[in-house]
Amino acid sequence: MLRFSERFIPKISTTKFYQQSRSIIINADLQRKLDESTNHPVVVIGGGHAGCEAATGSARSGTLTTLITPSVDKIGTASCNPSMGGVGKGTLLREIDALDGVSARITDKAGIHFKILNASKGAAVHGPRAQIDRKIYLTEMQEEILNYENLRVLEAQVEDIIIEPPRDQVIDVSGRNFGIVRGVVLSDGSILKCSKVVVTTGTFLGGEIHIGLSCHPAGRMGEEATFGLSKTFRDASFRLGRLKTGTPPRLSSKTIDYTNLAPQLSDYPPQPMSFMNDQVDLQEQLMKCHMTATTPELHKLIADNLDKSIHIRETVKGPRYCPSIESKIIKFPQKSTHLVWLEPEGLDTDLVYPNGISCTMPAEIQEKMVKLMPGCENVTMIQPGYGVEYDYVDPRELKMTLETKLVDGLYLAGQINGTTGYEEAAAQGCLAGINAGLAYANKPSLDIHRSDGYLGVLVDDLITKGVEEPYRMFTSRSEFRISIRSDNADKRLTQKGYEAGVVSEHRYNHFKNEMKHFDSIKEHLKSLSFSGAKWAPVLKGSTLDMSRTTVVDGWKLLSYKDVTLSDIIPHLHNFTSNGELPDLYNHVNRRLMGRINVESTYEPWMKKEEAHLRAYQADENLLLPLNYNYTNEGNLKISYEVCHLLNTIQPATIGQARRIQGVTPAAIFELFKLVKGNQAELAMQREPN
Amino acid sequence: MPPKLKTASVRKLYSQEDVLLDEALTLYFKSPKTYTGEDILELHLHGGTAIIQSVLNAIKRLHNPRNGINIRYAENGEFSRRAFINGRFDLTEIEGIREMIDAETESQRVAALSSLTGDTKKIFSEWREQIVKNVALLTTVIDFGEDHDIEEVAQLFDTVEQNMNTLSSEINTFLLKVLSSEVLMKGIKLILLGPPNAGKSSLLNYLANKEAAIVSDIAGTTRDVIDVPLDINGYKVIVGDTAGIRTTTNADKIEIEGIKRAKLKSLGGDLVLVVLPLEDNSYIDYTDLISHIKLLNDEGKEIIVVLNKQDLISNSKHTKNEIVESYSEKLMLPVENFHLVSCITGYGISELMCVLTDTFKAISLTETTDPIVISARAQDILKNDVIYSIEQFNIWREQDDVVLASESLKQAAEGIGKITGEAIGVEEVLGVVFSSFCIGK
Repeated sequence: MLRFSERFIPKISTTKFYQQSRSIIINADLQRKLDESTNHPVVVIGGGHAGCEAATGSARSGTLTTLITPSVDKIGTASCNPSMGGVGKGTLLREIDALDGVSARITDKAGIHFKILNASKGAAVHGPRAQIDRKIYLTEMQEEILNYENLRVLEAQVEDIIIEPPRDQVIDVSGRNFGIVRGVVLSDGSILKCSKVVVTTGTFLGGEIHIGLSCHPAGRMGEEATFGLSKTFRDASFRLGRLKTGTPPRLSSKTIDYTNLAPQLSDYPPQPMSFMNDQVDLQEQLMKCHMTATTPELHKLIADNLDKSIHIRETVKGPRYCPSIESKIIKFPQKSTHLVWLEPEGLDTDLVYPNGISCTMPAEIQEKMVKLMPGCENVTMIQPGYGVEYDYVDPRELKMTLETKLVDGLYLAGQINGTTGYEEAAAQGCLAGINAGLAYANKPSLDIHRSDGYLGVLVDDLITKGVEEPYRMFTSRSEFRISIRSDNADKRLTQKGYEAGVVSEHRYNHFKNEMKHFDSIKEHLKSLSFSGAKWAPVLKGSTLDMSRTTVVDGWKLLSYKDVTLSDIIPHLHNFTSNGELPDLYNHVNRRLMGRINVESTYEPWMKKEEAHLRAYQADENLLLPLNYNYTNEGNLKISYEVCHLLNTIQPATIGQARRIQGVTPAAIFELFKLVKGNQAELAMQREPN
Repeated sequence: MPPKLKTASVRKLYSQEDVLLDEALTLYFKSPKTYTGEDILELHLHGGTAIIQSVLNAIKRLHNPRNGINIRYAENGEFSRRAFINGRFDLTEIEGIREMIDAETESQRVAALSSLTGDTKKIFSEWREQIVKNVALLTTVIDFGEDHDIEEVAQLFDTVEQNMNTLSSEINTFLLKVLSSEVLMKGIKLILLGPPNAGKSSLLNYLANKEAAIVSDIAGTTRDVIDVPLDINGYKVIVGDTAGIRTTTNADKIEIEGIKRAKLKSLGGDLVLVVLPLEDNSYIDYTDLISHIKLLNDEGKEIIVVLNKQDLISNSKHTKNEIVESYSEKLMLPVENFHLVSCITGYGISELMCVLTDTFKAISLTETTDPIVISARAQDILKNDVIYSIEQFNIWREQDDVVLASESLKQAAEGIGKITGEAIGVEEVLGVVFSSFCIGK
């Protein structure tokens, strides 16, 4: 019985450990079938947010890629809320874009309401978000996927993955078999030969939908769940667990009375999600959201019917930050109302997504419930909300490339790794796909560290700490929040991606030009050194921070509160020899303008963070042995509990070990003693055979 | 017969050759409820190097790695480290133990114990909790402030500011206490000062109960400064016996140097005990001494004046009060600072001891609170990480920058983590956020 008043999550996860039972023997028959099949270098299973990025990412690496999905017309479906981005999440989207991924560009085509969240709180935590037209998003994504270079789409269902045991090292420290991907088996029995598989099955893996007291297997409403692969993972001895999530009912817009509901307008003109765009496609067709709220009557209705939902009674974990209306009412009984946003699902659809009332009650109760919100007294419910419960693989089974440690060539991305959210899924897909493609081509992997971006934080958190509830990105998860921002994702990742071979020349040149422009403006501003008296007109009369005799350069001036580049530009001609505004400033787009303001503002703080970054990198450079059996029986003075943690997680570096909850400073010191003399050897261990 | 569990039992110790080595007191503790968390056997041997050596040798000969019996001397601090590894202590406690090993007297032991038993630990963990809570409040503002139904968002920043300022002043008060406790640990510096042949060294001997300083009745015997560590009613006191101070034209170089050092020394003391003889001393010029006492008084030094050789005036018609008043006037110090004693008869010594003990208490603030001992490292962290970060927080608060203010608080959190050994993880912060606010839509 689940008690919501407590932390709502039992300490021990429901992760089950399956004893070894799979022994794939590639017999003559199977070998022949594999030989007959044309080679599919990288196969991506699933066409959701993770799958789309994985497929295109792998394709960008130059490796021929095949996306397999049961229904091509569902590629790019946004199954829950019709929005992309947000605080933390928006930065992930920009990072995908910086690696030349597709989601941000499609968002700019399909967005119908844009907002920079936290706009008043400093650029470090700005969260670009867009409401999207669900249909346009799907159409545009399919258009992109079906015409992507090196990418083929196959409509089929994958039943199993062919895993062959390797020749040399056979078992890991927990006694589980290692393996290598050789191919996939489709539901019609046919076999595809392949060496890299990226699994992005979302909620479909052992998926089960809950409405009220009824429960049936499905991945999304009206779509079949995947069980074959679930068995594949069990048989390969992966540690699996169950998680749950939910979605609210959908309403008919024309039955809502918006008269007394506060509207929320989009930013105008919107800031595009992609670095490649200066403007969004639907800039002139933006839509409003409206605010309503739950009422005491609604709360009572739910409270009286709590026994009618199996979803909330289960011990499987749902996210604490995206709770169903049931758990909000159970956990915060003192609150008499919760905010609900009514979000249009598109330009020409009647569907409205009521954000804030994710619900798993029986449909008839939901129908009554939605009518208890102001403005919705006569509303028609088009589809009830429901809960989904699904399998995930303990992400501590993964390397930082998102390849499993157990099976060579098997990559996992998205909800299968215990995350929630489109952006988290897409970001992992992007990284997993790119690495699968690079690995096939025998190119060095693309490693994204915590210091590189939220993508690095996301992956490191997953593979180091595992998950206890669906994982969502927050800015507070990053220790480098000031240097890792939504505005500089390209600066952090595009070069890296280009060097790895997954960023197009087109994007790279676009990026280089903007950086060059940025540098020349910065240089020019730095060359302008004047006294406070001379800068006075720029300061708009506010000399709060500056005395008349203090001399600062133009770049430094920008770090003063409320001084921006647009305040300086109108006065610049006074500071040049020919009395004219340098050409440099004639075509500064909005994004570049923003960059300059942000970079100059944070520059003083960056020095602090750089020291922190160096310490972080020093730890990351200290390698630990792979697949090592930690025991305190020898010279290692580490407690039994810490040995157990290290054996489960198998951290790759001292830095990663340090981030494991429960690994003591004393243990880190012991690990340091263990590896300080044999770093070269440990680096060799990582070389591909 | 094996030693009894958790009971002091006397056992005969034999060598491998059945030679009786010693009859020793043994104490046996079984894991996990021991200092290190492992089995522990304590042997309390009779003194004497020979006995100790022979027992150690016998133990060493049991070393037999082939049978898995590994015997070696503990490394420096290994017991504490094992205790730490086995989860018996956190860092505050370990540091308390180190201080205890250094502790020499009762009050120091009490101070070290308060850290060991976790009084300090409790304070730190309360501060830690405070910081986590406030980081969580700012996290709520940043990660969930927008688009969620948190009415309180606007007030949260103010609340955090108030909380942090309260915390900051708490930590400052604590650091003050630590400073005075430090006086206690290092020993209270008591300086004996006075004219030649006033009986400073006699008084020192009286306090020390042993012939620590050379005593003679020739003026100027103590030509250099002599430091004698003493235990006075449980307080560790470093008594500095100095050369007599007189204004003189015929002193030799050594005496002049001695007088110079005596003055300097008294300026660095926690307490200055001025010893004056109650005898006809008209031949000594006090001018120099009196002006130095004035200087000390101006510097805010604690000064107690001991009027020695009370035995010489026992039959005099002068009353005690009259004598004290005249000295009080001369030295411009209140009468209650004066005490009559005789190092020969012992007159007034026990009263003087009481006065000294009270003064020690006052100096080390132990009257109202128990002494607090934390390591220099922990003090540095409190000052340079925690207090400094709170100051930074305030700067950003003033500029209304919630992000940089929050970064500053994170540094404070890391500082506390460095002291307690428990880093503050994101999950912990988010835990507070989700349990305090209804987040999400």
